Amino acid sequence: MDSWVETLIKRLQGDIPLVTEPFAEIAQETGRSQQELIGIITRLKQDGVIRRFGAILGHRQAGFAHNVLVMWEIPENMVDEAGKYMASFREISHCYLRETPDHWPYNMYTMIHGRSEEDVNKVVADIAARFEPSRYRLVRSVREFKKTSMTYY
Amino acid sequence: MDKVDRKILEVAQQEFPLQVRPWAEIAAEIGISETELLDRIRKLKELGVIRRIGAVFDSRKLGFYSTLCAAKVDPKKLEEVAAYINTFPGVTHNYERDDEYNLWFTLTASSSAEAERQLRDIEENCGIKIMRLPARKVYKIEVVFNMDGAEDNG
Repeated sequence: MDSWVETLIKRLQGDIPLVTEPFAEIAQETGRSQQELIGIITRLKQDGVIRRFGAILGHRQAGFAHNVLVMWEIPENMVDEAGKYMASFREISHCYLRETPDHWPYNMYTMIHGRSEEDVNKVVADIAARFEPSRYRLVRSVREFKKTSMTYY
Repeated sequence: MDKVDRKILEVAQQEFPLQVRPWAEIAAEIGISETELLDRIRKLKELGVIRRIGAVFDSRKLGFYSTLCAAKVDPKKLEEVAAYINTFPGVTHNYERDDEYNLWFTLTASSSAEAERQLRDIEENCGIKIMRLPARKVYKIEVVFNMDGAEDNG
């Protein structure tokens, strides 16, 4: 990736300015025209390099007090079906199939967010009934030591 | 937070208008003035409800490597270990969880070798063993929260 794009990525991983023409300000900082800049950002989005552009919320502050990580042991031949089903819940923000180190049985990982414990339990019960995982493990967050966005370059 | 704030959170999490006057378009969609929108966003940021408005990059598409990590840490040493882990800029999430694996964090690095170097550093310096759980496949990664029915906190 060329170094100008790196500079742009560096700038876009921060906050966009709260002014009438925010891209004009970033364009000036990075030495491009506003139209050119908007075109480049649009392309980065289309290519999936930018996964999302918008507001990132603090989920606790936004009212989602119950956040749990649930790990599931799903048979290998069912992971795709289970992954797609899990992803369909709006309460589930992240769903990953992960490698399983020695003696660690869990391969599917879901982050579930709810306003109440009941919200979360309903989702867990639904998935557990449907895929009958031989084991699953639910861990609640006790304390947040760090939560930030990645800083590239 | 009132109804207008919740509407702002909902709209601001969606596709940000990539055009000359994005805030004006968002304000029009909500039905308030651009000035009011910017004032309210400033306040929501101060409260920590909005952490940031900007781009979220796909670390893999940028050639970076990332992995979820878990460790069993002596509860007496947990804060100290967490603080050391937090000094690594590639650690973006770090949580205490109610499990025998009581510390969970994510690490992103420029390559898997670099991630491995940092994890070994943590293991040696903190006297812990870290379980590495890199992703094989991503089914969902979405940080948009549905604001329907959120509590009205005045």
